[in-house]
Amino acid sequence: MLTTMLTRPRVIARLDIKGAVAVKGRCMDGWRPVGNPNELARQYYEQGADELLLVDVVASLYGREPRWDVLEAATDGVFIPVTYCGGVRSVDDVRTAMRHGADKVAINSAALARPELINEAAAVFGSQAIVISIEAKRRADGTYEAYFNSGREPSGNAVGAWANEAQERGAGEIVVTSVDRDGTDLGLDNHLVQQVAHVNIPLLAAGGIASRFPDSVVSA
Amino acid sequence: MIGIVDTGVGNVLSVRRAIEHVTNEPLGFWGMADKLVMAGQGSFASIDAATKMLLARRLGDGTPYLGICLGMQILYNGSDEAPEEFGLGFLSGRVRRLAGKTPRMGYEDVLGIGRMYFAHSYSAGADIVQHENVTGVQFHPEKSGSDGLRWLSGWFEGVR
Repeated sequence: MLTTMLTRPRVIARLDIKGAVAVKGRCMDGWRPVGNPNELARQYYEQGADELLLVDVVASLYGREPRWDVLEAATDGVFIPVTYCGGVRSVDDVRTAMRHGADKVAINSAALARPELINEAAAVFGSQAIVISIEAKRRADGTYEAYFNSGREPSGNAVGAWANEAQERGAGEIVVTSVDRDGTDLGLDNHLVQQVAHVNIPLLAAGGIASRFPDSVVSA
Repeated sequence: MIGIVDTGVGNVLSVRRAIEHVTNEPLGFWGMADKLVMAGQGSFASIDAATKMLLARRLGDGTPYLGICLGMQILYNGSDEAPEEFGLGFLSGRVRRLAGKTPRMGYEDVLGIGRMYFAHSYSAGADIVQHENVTGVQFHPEKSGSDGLRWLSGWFEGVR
Protein backbone atom coordinates (compact mmCIF):
# COMPACT_ATOMS: atom_id res chain seq x y z
CA MET A 1 0.00 0.00 0.00
CA LEU A 2 1.32 3.44 -0.87
CA THR A 3 1.13 6.11 1.76
CA THR A 4 1.02 9.87 1.48
CA MET A 5 3.76 11.88 3.08
CA LEU A 6 2.87 14.90 5.14
CA THR A 7 2.72 17.96 2.96
CA ARG A 8 3.72 21.35 4.30
CA PRO A 9 0.99 23.65 5.61
CA ARG A 10 -0.13 26.00 2.90
CA VAL A 11 -0.87 29.71 2.95
CA ILE A 12 -3.16 30.70 0.13
CA ALA A 13 -3.83 34.26 -0.94
CA ARG A 14 -7.48 34.94 -1.69
CA LEU A 15 -8.28 37.55 -4.27
CA ASP A 16 -11.89 38.66 -4.67
CA ILE A 17 -13.02 40.13 -7.94
CA LYS A 18 -16.16 41.99 -8.98
CA GLY A 19 -16.29 42.48 -12.73
CA ALA A 20 -12.73 43.18 -13.83
CA VAL A 21 -11.69 44.80 -10.56
CA ALA A 22 -10.11 43.33 -7.44
CA VAL A 23 -12.20 44.12 -4.38
CA LYS A 24 -12.06 43.77 -0.64
CA GLY A 25 -15.19 43.20 1.38
CA ARG A 26 -16.25 42.72 4.95
CA CYS A 27 -18.56 39.84 5.91
CA MET A 28 -19.01 39.23 2.15
CA ASP A 29 -20.52 42.66 1.63
CA GLY A 30 -19.55 46.27 0.94
CA TRP A 31 -16.86 45.35 -1.59
CA ARG A 32 -14.59 48.26 -2.40
CA PRO A 33 -12.16 48.32 -5.31
CA VAL A 34 -8.52 47.70 -4.39
CA GLY A 35 -6.77 47.37 -7.73
CA ASN A 36 -5.95 45.35 -10.78
CA PRO A 37 -6.41 41.57 -10.29
CA ASN A 38 -3.28 40.59 -12.26
CA GLU A 39 -1.05 43.11 -10.48
CA LEU A 40 -2.22 41.82 -7.11
CA ALA A 41 -1.99 38.17 -8.15
CA ARG A 42 1.60 38.65 -9.34
CA GLN A 43 2.40 40.50 -6.12
CA TYR A 44 1.07 37.63 -3.99
CA TYR A 45 2.98 35.12 -6.13
CA GLU A 46 6.21 37.07 -5.70
CA GLN A 47 5.57 37.42 -1.96
CA GLY A 48 5.57 33.63 -1.69
CA ALA A 49 1.91 32.64 -1.65
CA ASP A 50 1.62 28.86 -1.98
CA GLU A 51 -1.55 29.13 -4.05
CA LEU A 52 -4.07 31.68 -5.24
CA LEU A 53 -7.81 31.49 -4.69
CA LEU A 54 -9.62 33.78 -7.12
CA VAL A 55 -13.23 34.44 -6.17
CA ASP A 56 -15.79 36.19 -8.34
CA VAL A 57 -17.99 37.43 -5.50
CA VAL A 58 -20.98 38.39 -7.63
CA ALA A 59 -21.21 35.68 -10.34
CA SER A 60 -23.65 33.54 -8.34
CA LEU A 61 -25.22 36.44 -6.51
CA TYR A 62 -26.19 38.26 -9.71
CA GLY A 63 -26.71 35.06 -11.72
CA ARG A 64 -23.90 36.08 -14.08
CA GLU A 65 -21.63 33.98 -16.25
CA PRO A 66 -18.12 33.77 -14.81
CA ARG A 67 -15.74 36.39 -16.17
CA TRP A 68 -13.40 34.00 -17.96
CA ASP A 69 -11.54 36.92 -19.51
CA VAL A 70 -10.76 38.30 -16.06
CA LEU A 71 -9.63 34.86 -14.85
CA GLU A 72 -7.30 34.57 -17.84
CA ALA A 73 -5.85 38.06 -17.42
CA ALA A 74 -5.48 37.71 -13.64
CA THR A 75 -3.51 34.44 -13.79
CA ASP A 76 -0.92 35.52 -16.36
CA GLY A 77 2.59 35.12 -14.92
CA VAL A 78 1.34 33.39 -11.78
CA PHE A 79 3.18 30.06 -11.54
CA ILE A 80 1.43 28.64 -8.49
CA PRO A 81 -1.84 26.69 -8.41
CA VAL A 82 -4.90 28.84 -9.02
CA THR A 83 -8.32 27.82 -7.78
CA TYR A 84 -11.20 29.64 -9.44
CA CYS A 85 -14.46 30.10 -7.53
CA GLY A 86 -17.65 31.88 -8.61
CA GLY A 87 -20.61 30.95 -10.78
CA VAL A 88 -19.34 27.50 -11.80
CA ARG A 89 -22.54 25.57 -12.60
CA SER A 90 -21.57 22.66 -14.86
CA VAL A 91 -18.80 20.31 -15.95
CA ASP A 92 -18.41 22.51 -19.03
CA ASP A 93 -17.76 25.49 -16.76
CA VAL A 94 -14.97 23.53 -15.04
CA ARG A 95 -13.47 22.77 -18.45
CA THR A 96 -13.71 26.42 -19.46
CA ALA A 97 -12.03 27.53 -16.24
CA MET A 98 -9.08 25.19 -16.93
CA ARG A 99 -8.74 26.70 -20.39
CA HIS A 100 -8.56 30.19 -18.89
CA GLY A 101 -5.84 29.68 -16.33
CA ALA A 102 -7.41 27.73 -13.45
CA ASP A 103 -5.80 24.56 -12.08
CA LYS A 104 -8.66 23.71 -9.71
CA VAL A 105 -12.23 24.90 -9.41
CA ALA A 106 -14.20 25.64 -6.24
CA ILE A 107 -17.98 25.33 -6.20
CA ASN A 108 -20.48 26.51 -3.61
CA SER A 109 -23.93 27.70 -4.74
CA ALA A 110 -24.37 25.29 -7.67
CA ALA A 111 -23.30 22.29 -5.56
CA LEU A 112 -25.81 23.16 -2.83
CA ALA A 113 -28.53 23.49 -5.48
CA ARG A 114 -27.56 20.23 -7.20
CA PRO A 115 -25.04 18.14 -5.25
CA GLU A 116 -24.70 15.63 -8.15
CA LEU A 117 -22.55 18.26 -9.86
CA ILE A 118 -19.73 17.24 -7.49
CA ASN A 119 -19.89 13.61 -8.67
CA GLU A 120 -20.04 14.64 -12.31
CA ALA A 121 -17.09 17.05 -12.09
CA ALA A 122 -14.93 14.64 -10.05
CA ALA A 123 -15.59 11.81 -12.54
CA VAL A 124 -14.14 13.89 -15.37
CA PHE A 125 -11.42 15.96 -13.70
CA GLY A 126 -10.55 13.82 -10.68
CA SER A 127 -11.17 14.77 -7.07
CA GLN A 128 -7.92 16.74 -6.83
CA ALA A 129 -9.34 19.42 -9.15
CA ILE A 130 -12.70 19.85 -7.41
CA VAL A 131 -12.90 22.02 -4.31
CA ILE A 132 -16.04 22.68 -2.32
CA SER A 133 -16.34 26.14 -0.85
CA ILE A 134 -18.49 26.43 2.26
CA GLU A 135 -19.67 29.84 3.41
CA ALA A 136 -20.60 29.36 7.05
CA LYS A 137 -22.63 31.46 9.44
CA ARG A 138 -23.05 30.76 13.11
CA ARG A 139 -26.59 29.97 14.29
CA ALA A 140 -27.97 31.14 17.64
CA ASP A 141 -27.47 27.65 19.08
CA GLY A 142 -23.74 27.68 18.26
CA THR A 143 -23.90 25.36 15.26
CA TYR A 144 -23.04 26.55 11.75
CA GLU A 145 -25.06 26.62 8.54
CA ALA A 146 -23.81 26.60 4.93
CA TYR A 147 -24.86 29.69 2.96
CA PHE A 148 -24.76 30.49 -0.75
CA ASN A 149 -24.81 33.55 -3.02
CA SER A 150 -21.89 35.15 -1.17
CA GLY A 151 -23.16 34.45 2.31
CA ARG A 152 -26.69 35.75 1.73
CA GLU A 153 -28.92 32.70 1.41
CA PRO A 154 -29.19 29.93 4.01
CA SER A 155 -29.14 26.40 2.54
CA GLY A 156 -30.50 24.59 5.57
CA ASN A 157 -27.40 22.35 5.58
CA ALA A 158 -25.29 22.06 8.70
CA VAL A 159 -21.66 22.61 7.66
CA GLY A 160 -20.39 19.32 9.13
CA ALA A 161 -22.99 17.20 7.32
CA TRP A 162 -22.52 19.13 4.08
CA ALA A 163 -18.74 18.68 4.24
CA ASN A 164 -19.28 14.92 4.66
CA GLU A 165 -21.63 14.77 1.71
CA ALA A 166 -19.23 16.78 -0.46
CA GLN A 167 -16.39 14.41 0.42
CA GLU A 168 -18.51 11.34 -0.31
CA ARG A 169 -19.52 12.77 -3.66
CA GLY A 170 -15.90 13.19 -4.67
CA ALA A 171 -14.72 16.64 -3.63
CA GLY A 172 -10.96 16.69 -3.15
CA GLU A 173 -10.66 19.69 -0.87
CA ILE A 174 -12.86 21.86 1.30
CA VAL A 175 -12.40 25.55 2.00
CA VAL A 176 -14.60 26.76 4.80
CA THR A 177 -15.04 30.51 5.22
CA SER A 178 -16.57 32.27 8.19
CA VAL A 179 -18.91 34.85 6.65
CA ASP A 180 -19.04 36.70 9.97
CA ARG A 181 -15.25 37.13 10.07
CA ASP A 182 -14.62 37.61 6.35
CA GLY A 183 -12.51 40.70 5.72
CA THR A 184 -11.91 41.30 9.43
CA ASP A 185 -8.78 40.63 11.45
CA LEU A 186 -10.62 38.85 14.25
CA GLY A 187 -8.72 35.63 13.60
CA LEU A 188 -9.81 32.21 12.48
CA ASP A 189 -13.08 30.88 13.92
CA ASN A 190 -11.79 27.71 15.57
CA HIS A 191 -15.27 26.54 16.54
CA LEU A 192 -16.18 26.56 12.87
CA VAL A 193 -13.05 24.62 11.91
CA GLN A 194 -13.91 21.99 14.53
CA GLN A 195 -17.26 21.41 12.83
CA VAL A 196 -15.54 20.18 9.68
CA ALA A 197 -12.22 18.90 11.05
CA HIS A 198 -13.37 15.27 10.75
CA VAL A 199 -13.16 15.19 6.93
CA ASN A 200 -10.55 12.95 5.39
CA ILE A 201 -9.63 15.32 2.54
CA PRO A 202 -7.52 18.49 2.74
CA LEU A 203 -9.26 21.23 4.70
CA LEU A 204 -8.62 24.94 4.32
CA ALA A 205 -10.03 27.70 6.48
CA ALA A 206 -10.64 31.36 5.74
CA GLY A 207 -12.28 34.42 7.21
CA GLY A 208 -10.58 36.68 9.71
CA ILE A 209 -6.99 35.90 8.73
CA ALA A 210 -5.19 38.96 7.45
CA SER A 211 -1.65 37.89 8.28
CA ARG A 212 0.43 37.55 5.15
CA PHE A 213 -2.15 38.58 2.57
CA PRO A 214 -5.19 40.83 2.97
CA ASP A 215 -7.34 37.67 2.88
CA SER A 216 -5.42 34.52 3.73
CA VAL A 217 -6.62 30.93 3.54
CA VAL A 218 -4.70 28.38 5.59
CA SER A 219 -4.45 24.61 5.96
CA ALA A 220 -6.59 23.60 8.92
CA MET B 1 7.97 22.68 -32.26
CA ILE B 2 6.44 21.76 -28.92
CA GLY B 3 3.01 20.16 -28.70
CA ILE B 4 0.70 19.99 -25.70
CA VAL B 5 -1.31 16.78 -25.70
CA ASP B 6 -4.83 18.09 -25.27
CA THR B 7 -7.10 15.62 -23.52
CA GLY B 8 -9.84 18.21 -23.10
CA VAL B 9 -9.52 18.13 -19.31
CA GLY B 10 -6.05 19.44 -18.52
CA ASN B 11 -5.00 22.77 -17.06
CA VAL B 12 -3.76 23.52 -20.55
CA LEU B 13 -3.31 27.27 -20.26
CA SER B 14 -1.14 26.91 -17.13
CA VAL B 15 1.10 24.42 -18.91
CA ARG B 16 1.27 26.53 -22.04
CA ARG B 17 2.24 29.64 -20.09
CA ALA B 18 4.99 27.78 -18.22
CA ILE B 19 6.40 26.38 -21.48
CA GLU B 20 6.34 29.82 -23.09
CA HIS B 21 8.11 31.21 -20.03
CA VAL B 22 11.07 28.81 -20.24
CA THR B 23 11.59 28.38 -24.00
CA ASN B 24 11.30 30.38 -27.20
CA GLU B 25 10.27 27.38 -29.26
CA PRO B 26 6.93 27.68 -31.02
CA LEU B 27 3.92 25.62 -29.98
CA GLY B 28 1.87 23.65 -32.46
CA PHE B 29 -0.36 20.65 -33.05
CA TRP B 30 0.89 17.81 -30.87
CA GLY B 31 0.40 15.22 -33.59
CA MET B 32 3.26 16.85 -35.52
CA ALA B 33 5.42 18.34 -32.74
CA ASP B 34 8.93 17.03 -32.04
CA LYS B 35 8.56 17.46 -28.26
CA LEU B 36 5.46 16.59 -26.31
CA VAL B 37 4.07 17.69 -22.96
CA MET B 38 0.90 16.30 -21.49
CA ALA B 39 -0.90 18.22 -18.79
CA GLY B 40 -3.02 16.39 -16.32
CA GLN B 41 -5.93 17.52 -14.23
CA GLY B 42 -8.28 14.77 -15.33
CA SER B 43 -9.35 11.30 -14.29
CA PHE B 44 -7.73 8.20 -15.82
CA ALA B 45 -10.95 7.46 -17.74
CA SER B 46 -11.04 10.92 -19.31
CA ILE B 47 -8.48 10.16 -22.05
CA ASP B 48 -10.22 8.80 -25.12
CA ALA B 49 -9.01 5.99 -27.39
CA ALA B 50 -8.06 8.30 -30.27
CA THR B 51 -5.77 10.34 -28.02
CA LYS B 52 -4.18 7.19 -26.61
CA MET B 53 -3.71 5.79 -30.10
CA LEU B 54 -1.86 8.84 -31.41
CA LEU B 55 0.13 9.21 -28.19
CA ALA B 56 1.25 5.56 -28.30
CA ARG B 57 2.47 6.07 -31.86
CA ARG B 58 4.35 9.29 -31.02
CA LEU B 59 6.03 7.71 -27.99
CA GLY B 60 6.95 4.64 -30.03
CA ASP B 61 8.58 6.94 -32.61
CA GLY B 62 10.98 8.18 -29.93
CA THR B 63 9.51 11.66 -29.55
CA PRO B 64 10.69 13.28 -26.28
CA TYR B 65 7.71 13.33 -23.94
CA LEU B 66 7.05 14.94 -20.58
CA GLY B 67 3.96 13.60 -18.84
CA ILE B 68 2.70 15.61 -15.89
CA CYS B 69 0.47 13.95 -13.27
CA LEU B 70 -2.14 12.12 -15.39
CA GLY B 71 0.33 12.43 -18.26
CA MET B 72 2.66 10.22 -16.21
CA GLN B 73 -0.03 7.82 -14.97
CA ILE B 74 -1.32 7.06 -18.48
CA LEU B 75 2.11 5.57 -19.32
CA TYR B 76 1.37 2.54 -17.11
CA ASN B 77 -0.81 -0.53 -17.72
CA GLY B 78 -3.83 0.63 -15.77
CA SER B 79 -5.15 2.50 -12.74
CA ASP B 80 -7.38 1.86 -9.74
CA GLU B 81 -9.14 5.09 -10.74
CA ALA B 82 -10.76 3.39 -13.76
CA PRO B 83 -10.13 -0.37 -13.60
CA GLU B 84 -11.99 -0.97 -16.89
CA GLU B 85 -9.57 1.27 -18.84
CA PHE B 86 -6.12 0.41 -20.13
CA GLY B 87 -3.16 2.75 -20.00
CA LEU B 88 -0.50 2.80 -22.72
CA GLY B 89 1.63 0.13 -21.09
CA PHE B 90 4.76 2.06 -22.10
CA LEU B 91 5.95 1.49 -18.54
CA SER B 92 5.00 -1.68 -16.72
CA GLY B 93 3.12 -1.31 -13.46
CA ARG B 94 -0.15 -0.14 -12.14
CA VAL B 95 -1.36 3.17 -10.74
CA ARG B 96 -2.83 2.64 -7.28
CA ARG B 97 -4.96 4.67 -4.92
CA LEU B 98 -2.92 6.43 -2.25
CA ALA B 99 -3.62 5.31 1.30
CA GLY B 100 -4.53 7.75 4.05
CA LYS B 101 -5.73 11.27 3.51
CA THR B 102 -6.23 11.97 -0.19
CA PRO B 103 -5.76 13.87 -2.36
CA ARG B 104 -2.11 14.46 -1.53
CA MET B 105 -2.22 18.23 -1.95
CA GLY B 106 0.57 20.72 -1.46
CA TYR B 107 4.32 21.24 -1.72
CA GLU B 108 6.98 18.69 -0.97
CA ASP B 109 10.73 18.68 -1.41
CA VAL B 110 11.72 16.32 -4.18
CA LEU B 111 15.35 15.28 -3.81
CA GLY B 112 17.64 17.05 -6.25
CA ILE B 113 14.78 18.93 -7.88
CA GLY B 114 13.26 21.34 -5.39
CA ARG B 115 9.95 22.23 -3.80
CA MET B 116 7.22 20.85 -6.03
CA TYR B 117 3.44 20.98 -5.95
CA PHE B 118 1.47 17.74 -5.80
CA ALA B 119 -2.28 17.24 -6.29
CA HIS B 120 -3.27 13.61 -6.76
CA SER B 121 -5.15 10.66 -5.26
CA TYR B 122 -3.50 7.91 -7.33
CA SER B 123 0.17 7.11 -7.84
CA ALA B 124 2.49 4.78 -9.74
CA GLY B 125 4.77 4.82 -6.70
CA ALA B 126 7.36 7.32 -7.92
CA ASP B 127 7.44 11.12 -8.06
CA ILE B 128 9.54 11.04 -11.22
CA VAL B 129 10.32 8.37 -13.80
CA GLN B 130 12.66 8.40 -16.80
CA HIS B 131 12.68 5.72 -19.50
CA GLU B 132 14.13 6.14 -22.98
CA ASN B 133 12.44 9.20 -24.55
CA VAL B 134 9.84 9.45 -21.81
CA THR B 135 9.79 11.43 -18.57
CA GLY B 136 6.91 11.29 -16.11
CA VAL B 137 6.45 13.53 -13.09
CA GLN B 138 3.72 13.26 -10.51
CA PHE B 139 4.29 16.87 -9.40
CA HIS B 140 3.32 19.99 -11.32
CA PRO B 141 6.44 21.86 -12.52
CA GLU B 142 4.18 24.41 -14.24
CA LYS B 143 2.75 25.39 -10.85
CA SER B 144 5.68 25.06 -8.45
CA GLY B 145 7.01 28.60 -8.63
CA SER B 146 10.64 29.24 -9.58
CA ASP B 147 11.78 25.69 -8.66
CA GLY B 148 9.24 24.26 -11.06
CA LEU B 149 10.16 26.62 -13.89
CA ARG B 150 13.85 25.88 -13.39
CA TRP B 151 13.22 22.14 -13.63
CA LEU B 152 11.01 22.56 -16.69
CA SER B 153 13.64 24.70 -18.37
CA GLY B 154 16.21 21.97 -17.66
CA TRP B 155 13.97 19.34 -19.21
CA PHE B 156 13.71 21.30 -22.44
CA GLU B 157 17.49 21.87 -22.43
CA GLY B 158 17.95 18.12 -22.11
CA VAL B 159 15.86 17.28 -25.17
CA ARG B 160 17.12 20.06 -27.42
